[in-house]
Amino acid sequence: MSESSSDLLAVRCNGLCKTFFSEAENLEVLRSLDLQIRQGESCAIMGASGSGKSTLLAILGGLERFEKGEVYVDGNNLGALSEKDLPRFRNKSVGFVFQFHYLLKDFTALENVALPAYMCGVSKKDAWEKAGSLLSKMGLSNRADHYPSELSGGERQRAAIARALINAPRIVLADEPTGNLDAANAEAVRSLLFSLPSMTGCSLLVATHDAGLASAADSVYTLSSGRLVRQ
Amino acid sequence: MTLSSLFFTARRWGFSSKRRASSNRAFLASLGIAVGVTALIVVMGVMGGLQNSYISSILEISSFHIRIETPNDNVVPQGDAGQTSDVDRILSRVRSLPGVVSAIPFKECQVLAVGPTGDPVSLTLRAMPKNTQELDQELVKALGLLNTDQFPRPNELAIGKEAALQLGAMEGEGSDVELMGVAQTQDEGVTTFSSQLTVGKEFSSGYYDFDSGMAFVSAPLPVGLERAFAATPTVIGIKLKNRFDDASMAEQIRQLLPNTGYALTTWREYNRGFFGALRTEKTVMLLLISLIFLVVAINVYHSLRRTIAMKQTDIATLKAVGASNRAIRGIFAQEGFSIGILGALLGSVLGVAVTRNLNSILGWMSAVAGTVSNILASLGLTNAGSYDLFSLQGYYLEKIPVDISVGEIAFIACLAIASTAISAILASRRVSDAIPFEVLRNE
Repeated sequence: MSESSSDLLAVRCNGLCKTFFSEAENLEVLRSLDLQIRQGESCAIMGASGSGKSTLLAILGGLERFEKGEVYVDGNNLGALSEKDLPRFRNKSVGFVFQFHYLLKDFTALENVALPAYMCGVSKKDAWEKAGSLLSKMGLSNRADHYPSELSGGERQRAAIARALINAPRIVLADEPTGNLDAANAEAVRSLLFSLPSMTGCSLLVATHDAGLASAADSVYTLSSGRLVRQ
Repeated sequence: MTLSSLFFTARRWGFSSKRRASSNRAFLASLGIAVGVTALIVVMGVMGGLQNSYISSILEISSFHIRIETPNDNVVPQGDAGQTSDVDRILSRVRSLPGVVSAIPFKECQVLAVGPTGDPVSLTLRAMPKNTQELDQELVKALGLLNTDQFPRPNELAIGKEAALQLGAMEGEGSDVELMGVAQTQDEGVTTFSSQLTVGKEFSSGYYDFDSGMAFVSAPLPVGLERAFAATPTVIGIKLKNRFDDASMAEQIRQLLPNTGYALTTWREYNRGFFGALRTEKTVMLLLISLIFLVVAINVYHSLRRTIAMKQTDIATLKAVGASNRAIRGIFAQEGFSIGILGALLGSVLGVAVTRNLNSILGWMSAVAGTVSNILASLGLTNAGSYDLFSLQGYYLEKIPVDISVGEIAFIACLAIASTAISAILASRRVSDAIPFEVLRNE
C-alpha cells in the first residue's frame, strides 16, 4: 500500500470522485480530481460554499471515503486502508485544524494538545513535555492549565494548531482556520500556520474563502464543478 | 488508543470531570449500586443466619447427618455396653469409622399429651438411651441442655418449653403429664396405651417446631410406654465430622449393613423438601432484591446514552485525532465498570458493617423509636404504652442470627459490577453514531 516512487509527495490524488447519495438527488462533489502536494509545500484551495473543499480535506484526512480514484497521503493508499487502520493513519500522518477549535471541554489546553500523542503510546511524561513545548511555541505557555472555556478564540485556535502538530504529521489540513476569528487573531493564526512548513517540514493544505489567507500559500487552487484549477 | 490514555479520558469524562453534572451522575449511580449491594448483603446475611440456625437445629436434633432405619426388632435401645443385638453391632462398626463423630439409637412415636391446663398437645416422643449425653453431646447442646446432669432422666419427661407452657407442666413444679396414643403390634393388633410422667426437664432449641412438639424419654421405658414403641423401628442417628461428606460416608456405612431391611438416608435426602424450599426462598429473594441493580443499570444506560449524545462533538474530535470506535466505546465501558466497582466496594463494606452490627443497630433504632413514641404519647398524640419496633420474641428469636460467606459477598459484588458494565457496554454502542466529518461539518 505504500507509494515508494515518490517520497517527496505528501499528497497525490488521481481521478478522485466523490458523490453524496440521498433520496432527493445524488450530489457529485468531486469529479476526477487530481492534486499533488510536495513535502514542505503549502497549498490553498479556494471555492464557493458547497464546492467540496471540506469534503476534499476530509477525504485526505481519512474522515470520509470516496468512490473512485487513487489517494495517497504520507505514502498511505487511503482507498486500501481498512476502518481499523484509519484511526492510526489520522493519528500519525495528518493534523487537523478546523474552523471551530474543537478542543475537548473537560481537558486543559495542555491535555488537549498532549492527548493525540498519549493515545498513540507516547509516555504521559513525554507527551506532556512535548505538548508544553508546542504551547510555548504558540505563545500559550502561561495558558497551558486553562480549560478551553477560559481561553480566547485566538488562543483556542492556536491550541488546536498545537494539537495538530503533536505527532509531527506529514501534512496539516486546515479547514477555514481563521473563519471564526477577528482580524488580529486571524493574522496571528495565518502567520503561524504558514510558518509550519518551514518550522516542522510538514505540508499544509488550507481550504478557505479568504483570498488574503490563500495568498500566503505556495500554490493556490480553485475548486469548481468538482475539479481543481491552479491559479 | 492506549489503555492509560483511555483511562485518562474516562476519568475526565466521569468521576473527576470538571463538570459537576458528570461526576455527580457517576457518584449517584455508584451510590445506587452501593445501596443495592448493602441491601442484598444484609438480607442474604439474615436469611442465611435464620436458615443455618434452622438447618443446624434440624440436623442436630431431627434428621442427623445419616439415618439408618433398622427392621423393627421390638427392642428399645438401652445404650448399655455388652449387648449383642444387630443394632449394637452396627453401632459399634459405624462408630469405628473415621469421619463419624457419633452414632446413637432411638425410637420415635406420636403421642397425645394432656397436662394441668387440660389442653391436649400432640408430641413426637423419642425414646433415647440413658447415656445420650455421652453418646451425642451435640444433640444435647442443640436442645440448650449442655450443662444438665443427665438427659433424659429415667421415668421423667424432657419436653420443649413451648409444649410445657401449653400443657401447664413446667420444669421443677412436679407436674404430671398424661401421654396416650394408639399402637399396632402383630401380637395384639391395634391397642391403646397411656402413661403418666413428671416433667423433669424443659429444653429450648430455638426452633419452634421442636420446642412445641417434641419430648424425650429415657430407657428403660416407663410403664405403659413399651407398647407405644413396640411397633416402631429403631433408628440410628449418625453425625459426621463434615456433613458434606454424607454421600461417601453413606456408601462406607452401607457396606457395614446386612443386606436386607435397612434403609439409609442422608440429611440431604431426608430434608430435600424443606431445604429445597429454603434454597428457593433465598434464590427468589436474591433475584427480587437484585432488581435494584436492574433499575440502576437502566439508569446508567440512559445516563450514558445521554452523555454520549451530548458528547457527539468531543467523540468526533477524538476520532479525528486518531481514536477508534472501539477505544471510545472502551472509555464509556470503563466508566460503567468504575461505577460498578466503586458501588460494589462501598456496598460490600457497608453491608458487612451493617450485618455484623445488625442487632445493635436494630436495638438503637428501637430505642429511638421508643423515645419518639413516648414523646408523642406525652403530647397526647398517640396512646401511651411500651413500643417495640422489632419484637424478636414475636419471631421466636433471642437475637437476629446473621451468616454470610465471602463467596456470597463476592457474588453480589460481581452481580453489581456486571449490571453496570453490561449497561455501559450496551450504551457505548452509540459512539458509532458520531461520524466525524458529519458532526464537525455541522457544528
